[in-house]
Parts: sequence; structure tokens; C-alpha cells
Amino acid sequence: MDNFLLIGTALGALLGLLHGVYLFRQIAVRATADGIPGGKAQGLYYALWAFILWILFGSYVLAFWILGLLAYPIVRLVQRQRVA
Amino acid sequence: MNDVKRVGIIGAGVAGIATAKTLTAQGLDCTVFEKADRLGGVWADGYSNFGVQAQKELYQFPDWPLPKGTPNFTPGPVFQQYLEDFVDHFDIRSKIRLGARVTGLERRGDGMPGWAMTVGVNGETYEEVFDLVVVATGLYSNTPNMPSFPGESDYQGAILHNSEVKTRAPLEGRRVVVVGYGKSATDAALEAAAVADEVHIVFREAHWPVPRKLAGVLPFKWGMLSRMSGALLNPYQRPSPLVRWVHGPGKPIVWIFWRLVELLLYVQCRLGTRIAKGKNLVPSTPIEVDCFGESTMVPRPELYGLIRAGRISAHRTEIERYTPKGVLLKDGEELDVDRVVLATGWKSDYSFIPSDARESLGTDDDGFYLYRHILHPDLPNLAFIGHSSTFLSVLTYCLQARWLAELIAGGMVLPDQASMRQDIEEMKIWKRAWMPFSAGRGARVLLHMLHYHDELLTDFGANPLRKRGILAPLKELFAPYQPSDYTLIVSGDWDALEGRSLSPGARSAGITS
Repeated sequence: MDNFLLIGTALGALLGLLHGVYLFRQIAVRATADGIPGGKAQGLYYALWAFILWILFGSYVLAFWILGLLAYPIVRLVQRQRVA
Repeated sequence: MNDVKRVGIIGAGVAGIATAKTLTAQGLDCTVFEKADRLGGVWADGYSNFGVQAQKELYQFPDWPLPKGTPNFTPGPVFQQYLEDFVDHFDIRSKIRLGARVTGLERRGDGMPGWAMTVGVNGETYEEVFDLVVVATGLYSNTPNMPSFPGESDYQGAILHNSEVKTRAPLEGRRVVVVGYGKSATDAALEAAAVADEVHIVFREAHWPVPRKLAGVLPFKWGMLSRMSGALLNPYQRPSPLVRWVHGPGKPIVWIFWRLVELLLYVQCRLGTRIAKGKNLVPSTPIEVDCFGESTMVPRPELYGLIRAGRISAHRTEIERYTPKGVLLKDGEELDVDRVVLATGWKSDYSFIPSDARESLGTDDDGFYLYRHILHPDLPNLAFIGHSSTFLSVLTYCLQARWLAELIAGGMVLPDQASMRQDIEEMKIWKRAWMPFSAGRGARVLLHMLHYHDELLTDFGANPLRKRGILAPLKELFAPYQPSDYTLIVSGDWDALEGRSLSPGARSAGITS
């Protein structure tokens, strides 16, 4: 379980970093180009939040991903058998 | 559109009066033409016990909230009064001409952009010229769609469209069959269940209901109207990298999420209930696709209980033909009924638009497609407000009106015609790849309305991220978007407070803020 939480959190951190960079660029860079003040600060703020949320929920996301991966073929098999 | 001074608006429903308010505030000379003798569109003349199917805070003007004490799921007459008060509050009643039916539009004869409008009032016609015409006739009140079935002439009972059932009287003591499974159909069945001797509902396909409260606890807006849930839907036309990832390598998360939602609805609404011929109410279409169909609805809570109790007999089939005393269903069952209520929607009527213009709009069987659901590149100075079906229609029409106002004021520049045509083609390809077919698919936005609203705001340089406060990022992700988030946008006060950014078109055109 500890290993799972560690992997989930690490995955969350990676995704959070990527998402954070994307948000920073979307918000901060665009605001700066348009001359709206405070854009960089807002972008950084949103990026940090994204990073933290992904870390916090990384394990949950991983658990759902595994659950979906396992359940999908089983459900499809059951549906195919019902049709047959 | 920079030289627009006079605007003719066709329709005084929500879209028409929102447009009149917005453009009048901008100093334009607006006239609204309404064929009925009351303003309000669908709200002026609804069916028995009709009302809003969303919580009141979701279905109101962003800059004119419903009065305190308004009941939730606002009853139709209350909402109609709200529209009347809106018109008085913003002092646009004098702009509205009731009983005035627009019978024709022709391009102006003086060579200027705009239209000559032919209007019929009390049997007489006259013509008025406008720089811009806004078609705000909506999607739900033109011509009732009444499918025919063989044997109709032999049927001895009455065949009604649900819009004709203004009170319960036509159903009292009768044996009634309702055809359809959308909001109108289920409402009609519930009205019949209150007074009729026997009630049946016949539908081709079941649809996933949206309960007023998920698991009986959480108002549905929390599960449907956030950016988080929006990211898990089938991707919008131009998905972000995150959404592309979620629907690529992250697909198992999306799949399990929607299956859990289906499980919740299955249990909560007991969709496994046995109905006629051993069938049940479980839809065959996955919810993430079904929710973009024509019949997405928030049923009244008592519906499924009455079906379980047998008060409403549900038949998952179609009508084969009429018999003298009722209907024969395709599953072989014959229903002895003396009232048939067809809750089968509406047909749009754009016959007042010249035929060459209608050709430009397109004759596709899933309706016509517009740039931003508002303009067609080949029809200058003709706009459509309200030609879009979302969950928060009042908000959407207000934002469309704001978009149009900004365009007229020069606050944004449209892409060139070729780019707009390409955008329309891409939208057709995107929708037709997965959205359920209907004659109204071209206008359907539904749960992608957040993305659509973002596009509109970005076009005229407003910030699409509307949540405020220290927890804004958290709210952006999890909190539902609702009309109150757009108050400043709709009222036109946003640019002073938030700072106007230049839309891409304005930037390239060298327009400065």
C-alpha cells in the first residue's frame, strides 16, 4: 500500500508539473502579451494549485485508472456474452 | 458590422429580450417583433404545469436575478412574470411590437448591408429596413412536430401535441398514451397520472435521467457544470493538452467514472424496473454520449415511482399504427386509449428567410451550423441568438448577445470568411463523429457550454476564468459555473474592472484597447 501511495503521488507530481507549466503559459504569458497586470502572479498561483492537487489526488487517479483498465475488458466480455 | 445603427430582432423570448437589452444599452435602435400577443416565447404559452427543470440560480439572467422567494424549479407562470419584469426594469418594453409576424426578409435595395423586413400586423403588411437582423426565434416554439402513423383517419380519439395540453382538463377521466421520453413527454405523463383513468408512455429509446439531486444529496450542478466534469466528457472541438491526455492514456479513468455515474443513476432511479414486455428503463447508449442527445432531461422526482407503481405503464417500443379505439404498438400490444399526446418536439420555421439565404445556411438533415452558433459567413448582418441548446440557455443567450454587441462596437474582429467556413466544417465533422443524430444537432452544445462560453469570452478579450477569491483555482476545477459568474460580462462592466485583453482578431487587425 505504501508503495502504491508513493507511486501514485510521484505520478501526480509529474502530471501536476506538466499541468502547472501549461496553466502558467496559458494564463501568465497571454496576460503579459495583452498587457494585463498581475498575469504572471495569477499564472503561478494556478500552476501551484494544480501541482498540489495532482500530488494530493495522484494515488486516487492511479487507483481509478487501474480499476478502469481491469473492469473495461470484463464488462465488454459480459456484454458480448449477453448479446450472443 | 461597424456601421450598425438599427437592429430588427425577430422573437421576444429570452434570446430576443436579452439581445434587445444588450444592444439598446449600447445605443443601438432596436425593434423586437413578436408574433404572439405576449412576450416570453415558450414561457408565454406553456403546457400544463410546465416549469424550469433546473435550480433557480442556474436559469436566470446574470444581471437580473430572480426575486427572493422564487420557488426552486421555477414554475412557468412565475418565470413568465420574471421576463415581463426584466423588460420593464431595463426599459425596453417600448421596443417590443406584439402581434407582429415577420413574413419576409430581403436584402436591402439601396446596396447597403442589411435587410428589408416585411411584417404582418392585423392582416396588413409593412416594410422596415434594418442594418442588422437578429433571428431570436429559438428552438422550441415554432411548429409542433407531429409524426403520422397509419390509420390516423380511423382513430376515434383525439391526437394532441403536448403544447396543446394547457390544463389537465383534456386528460381528465381519459385513457391516455404519451409518445416520447423527453421533459415534455414525462411532464405530460405526470399530468395525465394525476387525473386520467389510465396512462401509458411509449418511447423508442430510454435516456439517462438527471436527478435533481445526485444520490439524493448533491444538486446536479455539482456533478455536471464544473470544469472537472467537462474534462471527462467526449472532448470538445479543440481540446487542451490535458483533456487530450485524459482521453488518451487516461481513458480508463474516464470510462470508469462514467460507469460509476451510470451505476449511481441505475440505483437511484431504479432503472432496472420491469416495464411492458419484460423490458426496463436502462438506456442502451453510454451516458457520456446520451447526455448530448435531444432528450436529456431532469424529470420530476415522482416519475419513476409512478412507473414502478404501475400508475404510468411504460412501453419501450414505437407505435405501429392507429386503430379505431387506440394504438397498436410494434411489440404487438394494443392500447385502448382515447387521447394520444405527441410529445415529439418542434420543427423550426425559417421560411421568412429568402431561399438563397437558406441555401447558404445549408439543408443538412441535422440542422444548420453557424460560426460560434451565431453567424454565417455568407450572410452578413444576419445573426442568430438562441440557435444553441445548452443547459443554461438564459446565460448562453446573454453571452451571445454580449458577443454580438462587442462585434458591433468594434471590440473584436471576426476571422476571414474562409476561416469561419472552415470552423463550421470542423464543427460538423466533430459533432457528426459522435453526437446522437437529430434535426437539431447543428444547434446542440449542451454540456460543452463551458467550452463554448470560454470561446465567446476569449473572442472579445474577456477572461474566461470567472471564479474569484483565494480558492479560485479549486473553484475553477470543482465548483459549478452558473449565471452569477458572468454578471460583469453580461452587464458590460467587465472590461473596466478586469482589464480588457485583445482578442486575437483585434490584435492582428491592429486594434488597441
